[in-house]
Amino acid sequence: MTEPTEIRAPVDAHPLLGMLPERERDRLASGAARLSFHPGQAICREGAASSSFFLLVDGRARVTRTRPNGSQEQVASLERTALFGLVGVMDGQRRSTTIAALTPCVCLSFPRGVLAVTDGDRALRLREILAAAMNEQLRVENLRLTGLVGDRAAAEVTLSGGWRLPAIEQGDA
Amino acid sequence: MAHPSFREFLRAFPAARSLGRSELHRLIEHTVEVSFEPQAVVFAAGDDPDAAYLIRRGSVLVLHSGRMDSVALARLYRGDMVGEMGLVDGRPRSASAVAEDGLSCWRLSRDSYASLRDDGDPVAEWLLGELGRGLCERIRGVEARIGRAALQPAGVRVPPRRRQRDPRTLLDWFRRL
Repeated sequence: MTEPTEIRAPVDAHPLLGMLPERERDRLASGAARLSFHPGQAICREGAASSSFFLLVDGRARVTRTRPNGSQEQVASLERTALFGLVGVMDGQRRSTTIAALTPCVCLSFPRGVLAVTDGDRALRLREILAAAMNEQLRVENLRLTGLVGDRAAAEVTLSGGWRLPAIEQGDA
Repeated sequence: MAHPSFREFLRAFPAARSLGRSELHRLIEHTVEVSFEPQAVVFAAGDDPDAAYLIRRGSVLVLHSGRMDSVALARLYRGDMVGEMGLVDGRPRSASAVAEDGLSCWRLSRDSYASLRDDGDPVAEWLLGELGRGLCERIRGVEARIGRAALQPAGVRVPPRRRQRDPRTLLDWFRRL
């Protein structure tokens, strides 16, 4: 059985979610589930319906996308504090990538219903934070694309949040 | 200071029909029309983010500069926003934006957005909605290109010119006719 603190603590400590008012963090945590994944297990699959977004609490994960020839292309790696699965719950379309655990992973899963906030000020704050999280994802994926089609050396930039260039390019096993 | 008319703004941003008349007026009042010559830099990577640009006419290439060359990350058109993360993210620009042809935009400063946001104005929520929509489209676009890029020879860098419109946006627009 999951203790409430096991869900609330990662939300409070998150660099973005932790900036929300306490009442909003309460609401997020109350709807969340704590999930565990073993290495190789898919957390979410390309093509699946997007019903929730996730916070990676512990472990590392890999983001891949199917190439036209059916093989898998690495898009990014995820580390602690990464928020992912946001695009699908925001635009209602199916997952565009598969995210699978590289190491034993613990995630918080938030249902898409938490985005249905009617209070104006709370809606703005939450949307700004989720936009910042998606922007971090876009930054990393732009770097990945740049490395594939242009300058083969990874650009030296400071990345915050849990999104990273694919582990394989950083020399990890 | 030239402000667009309602009709002109709605032609470029049909999604703004969800705003009330007074809200649309406030949004328009906070913008300034700016123009760029072809190949002019709208903003450069590393710049402080001070504004978003709502594209009225023309197109913009968003470029990432590597050590050796630049890669076009996105091509944006009328009805798109560029630099919009500058409204909510205080970090330096991560990419450059260059006018591809004669470009005309409505510039919304970071201070103007902050004013709307602090007032709890629905306009700020609309802007964030458009920002989120743009981010989703751009992320999906980049991921699709990543999936194809490994199979393409180096040098194929520029995104396709044909713009794929979001069918949801079109459907919403039709519903309001």
